[in-house]
Amino acid sequence: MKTIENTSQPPLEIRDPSLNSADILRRIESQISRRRAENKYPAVDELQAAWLPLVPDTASVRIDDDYIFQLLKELTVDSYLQEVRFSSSVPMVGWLIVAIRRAWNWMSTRWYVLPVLKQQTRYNEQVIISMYRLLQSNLALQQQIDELRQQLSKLENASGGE
Amino acid sequence: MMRVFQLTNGMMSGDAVSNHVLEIDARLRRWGYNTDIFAEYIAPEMETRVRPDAECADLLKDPNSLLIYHLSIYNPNYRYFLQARGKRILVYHNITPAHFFRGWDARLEMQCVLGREALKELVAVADLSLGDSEYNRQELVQAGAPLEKTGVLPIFLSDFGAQPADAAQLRQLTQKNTTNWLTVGRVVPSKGIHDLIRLFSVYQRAINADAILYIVGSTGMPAYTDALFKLTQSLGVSDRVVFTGRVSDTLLTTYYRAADLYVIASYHEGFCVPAVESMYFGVPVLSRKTTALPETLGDAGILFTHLGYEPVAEMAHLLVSDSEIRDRVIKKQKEQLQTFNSARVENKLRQFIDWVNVR
Repeated sequence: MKTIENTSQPPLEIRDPSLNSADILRRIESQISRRRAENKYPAVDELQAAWLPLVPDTASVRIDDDYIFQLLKELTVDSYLQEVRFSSSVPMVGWLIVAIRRAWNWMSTRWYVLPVLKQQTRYNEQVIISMYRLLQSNLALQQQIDELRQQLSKLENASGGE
Repeated sequence: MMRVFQLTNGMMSGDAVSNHVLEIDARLRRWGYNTDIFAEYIAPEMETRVRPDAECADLLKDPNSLLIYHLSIYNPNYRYFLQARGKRILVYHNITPAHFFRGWDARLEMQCVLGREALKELVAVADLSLGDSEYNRQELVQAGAPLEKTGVLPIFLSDFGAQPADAAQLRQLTQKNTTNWLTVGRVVPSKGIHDLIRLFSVYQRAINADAILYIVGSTGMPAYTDALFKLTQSLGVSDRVVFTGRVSDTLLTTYYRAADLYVIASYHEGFCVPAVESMYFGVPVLSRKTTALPETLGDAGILFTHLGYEPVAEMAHLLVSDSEIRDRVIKKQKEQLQTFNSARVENKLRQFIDWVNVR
């Protein structure tokens, strides 16, 4: 397995031993040199600067508020509403009670209760997502405050503690 | 005979996890088990085969039952797995790390966070936790699964090639003699579609002006899709990049048949079914070396460890234009395909079911 390790070029991995990887990499380098000389490639800066909206760089923000997170998790589980399944422990006629209840439940649930359950579930979900966003935002702000404090401390030290 | 239930997030045609569930179900029935499939979302075409997840609650009280739970995204129905009184097998299809969706889709981001939290609870009670790749199995162990209670069950891929290509569409895609790049999957940030478009623009502008990039997959994240449209405009390739949206199985086959090269710029894959589909259809694969992709590709395909546009674009050119390199890569890919042979996967499934049964 051969790789191009030049910092300006990415490593390519050719794992198949039946391929002449050294020759392939040499040909690639040769083509790059030729096309660069001919000014064929778009500039990397141009590629990277091409428009893509900035995504908040919060990847490094870890969810470390266990209590709020646990609460959100439990809320999410409870937010999901479901119809009730009937069962009966009454001997002999229990099956009949269950059948009647299920028949009634089918009628009322399908046309009335289920749409309400779904609407409520959607609402619950939106509330939880909003809370989650606030939690993320709060954590990001906390991190910024910590960083600003550190910078302030450095500035104070640099100016003799004033 | 033990009853075996499978529970998942959603069941729909053309979905790899749904297909896997159906394939497992078919084999379990053949082996004499009584089976049922449950899901929260059931597409209309699945209504005759799949039951609403709430209906499994009573059945799972039976201690002589086996529940197979498929985890690919958070769904509150995972609690049925925690409550089940019989044997339990978790099948983990991986959950994309949430940070890929931050700023793009808060709902999906949270579902991913919660899904990974749920994973810890699930592995704690599972009799067996299976990943569909070694990469996924390792994540199961990291989540707390005891090593001896983990295994790898690759996805069943037996439906490949069952759908014929759309002849008229195939003619249209191939008659112009364009070089067709293809990528298949959801159009989401973790798939690195923005990197792929940048890479393609280098190839198209510097090496081969007659190239087209087909991005086949659902565009369900409008903010990201809009950003990609603007990116193609900024790079001057808006007329060379085609977003097809989700397509039928017939059209998917057509795109594979018309493709000259399959490129994966994804940052995260737990398995990557399209990579295997490309191998099946004889399309050379150029892929980012990340997560489960090196495992899925084995010694086949060509990997790049990070995106340097010029060498990767030149490698793409060799894969398209040098028939000797292309043929060798395709041959190796066909060999690698045997790793996912249905008979092998079936044998593994049987071993895992037997292992759980005797415990």
